[in-house]
Amino acid sequence: MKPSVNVSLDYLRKRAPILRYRILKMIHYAGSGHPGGSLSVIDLLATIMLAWGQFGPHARLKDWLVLGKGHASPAYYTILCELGYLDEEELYTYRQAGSRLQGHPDRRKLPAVQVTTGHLGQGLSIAAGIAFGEKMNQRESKVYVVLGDGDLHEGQTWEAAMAASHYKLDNLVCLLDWNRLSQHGPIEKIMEVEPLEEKWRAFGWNTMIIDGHDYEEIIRGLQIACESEKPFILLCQTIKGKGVSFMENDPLWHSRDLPFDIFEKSIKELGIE
Amino acid sequence: MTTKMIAPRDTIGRTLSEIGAKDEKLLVLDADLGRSTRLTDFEKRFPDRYLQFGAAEQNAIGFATGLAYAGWHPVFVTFTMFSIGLGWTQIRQAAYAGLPIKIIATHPGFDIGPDGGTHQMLEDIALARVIPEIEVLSPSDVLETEAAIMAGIKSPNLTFIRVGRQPVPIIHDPPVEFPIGKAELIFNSGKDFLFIADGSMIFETIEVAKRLTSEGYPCRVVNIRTIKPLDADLLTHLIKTAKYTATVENHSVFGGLGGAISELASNLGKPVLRIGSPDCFGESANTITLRKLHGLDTDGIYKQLQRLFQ
Repeated sequence: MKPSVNVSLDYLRKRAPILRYRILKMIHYAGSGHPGGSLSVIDLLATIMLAWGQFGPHARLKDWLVLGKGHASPAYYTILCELGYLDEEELYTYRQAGSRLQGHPDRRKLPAVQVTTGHLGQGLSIAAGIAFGEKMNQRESKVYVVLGDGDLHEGQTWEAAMAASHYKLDNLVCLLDWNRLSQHGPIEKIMEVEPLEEKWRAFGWNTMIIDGHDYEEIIRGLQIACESEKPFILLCQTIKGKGVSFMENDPLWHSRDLPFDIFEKSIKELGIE
Repeated sequence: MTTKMIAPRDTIGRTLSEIGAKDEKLLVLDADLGRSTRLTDFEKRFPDRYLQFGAAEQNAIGFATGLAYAGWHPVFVTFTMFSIGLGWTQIRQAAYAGLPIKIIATHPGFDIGPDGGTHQMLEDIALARVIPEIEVLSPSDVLETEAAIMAGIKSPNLTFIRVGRQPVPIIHDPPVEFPIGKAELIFNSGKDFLFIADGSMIFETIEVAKRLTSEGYPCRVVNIRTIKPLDADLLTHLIKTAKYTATVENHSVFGGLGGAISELASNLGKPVLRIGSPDCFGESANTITLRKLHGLDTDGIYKQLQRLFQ
């Protein structure tokens, strides 16, 4: 089954600076958050949730999105806002007392969140369980799970990778936001995960390397992944902090606040005054 | 009351099959210990609803959480060391997300005797009960275990059901109910000594109470049944009216049943004598020997009561 396309890729291209602006503004208002990983994953989330899968409030058969790297919640919330689940003003309550927009996605606070996440390593297990359950339900919905580099350091991810291929979960698509930087530095220095493609293949998965900021490539990857008879991982090459030059590829921006001067400087780069 | 000895774990597969026959959404998850946890009955009757994970417990718990998201009723059955011990954050995340997965945790405390201190889980009740919204069930004999599994699976909350591995006497007559949050006053000869015990310790505690009664000291024994939520009304009344209160458990004296009762009793200004494993690891030996070594046989419990008068 080919999911129907919701918005055009041209629309996504026009929208991208606004989504990035909102992410930065949320973190600016909150005084904390994870700008680097939110900016690296936003194009993936936008493509899956706005241009490819079924995620809107009125979708007949809803797909699943599991944000394994739950700390990139600002990116996720901006997409939920695009889909009409919340107003723009509410975005700027992120991380504040009484807000439905918790630091990590919380389905009980914000029902538009499908899956509560936040602990690295647990996302793939939960997604695999959903995929198995939906197959037993004989529903054709797909389960998309987005992991970060840090998820690959958690042993549970590999337990789940084994189980997903053991149970032939062909309705499970994993996307790695492969920006190659974790909190403390470059992945190869923190804990080497290469050879990554070979690892996933050895675990019984199909793989494909794509550019995680190129909408056409992401769509092509999703098309192939959704037709796979094995669980599929798209290894999406991304840039941490993508869109703001001084944040790009710098682990400093993994987790930190954005005071007004930095916020102003960064949104100028997006072409937004 | 009979003295027929049966291991509470022996009912797990059978009871799950009984539930599974009515509840088509019930799924049983195993981490390669199904023979020890007595799942074979379910495995044979419902092979499509019996899911094997190998010794990968954290994934099994996360997977169970995913199954619950998709509308299924997952029950993960394994040794308590490998469920709440190995998968604490995974269980906590399921509770945080409000997903009522079920954990049947076997081989608690000294029940796993000869395997030694590495496997003797004397900290599981402490680990489980500190998680908000979770229910901690600790049935005493095989009949009550059956009722506890039925009640735990029916509950809308995440339940942790601690099930003994060693044979214990059947102390209930059927039909046995297991109302979550309600304790059972199982022995009552008067209010001087109040014993609150759980699981495999109930039988020994009743024996101690009988001895004290024959010596002229009236006693009550409470089978706590659920350590969380506590039956606060009944316990408050009993603790207030007793001269002495003691807890008896197959668990560390820190954080388990004794901890829970002490927290309640401290609000009433009443001291509690906690009898259980002192703050130390176990060692290899059979369960009966270990109970003796750690003062959890009838004589050991009786002797420790001296501390009430020091």
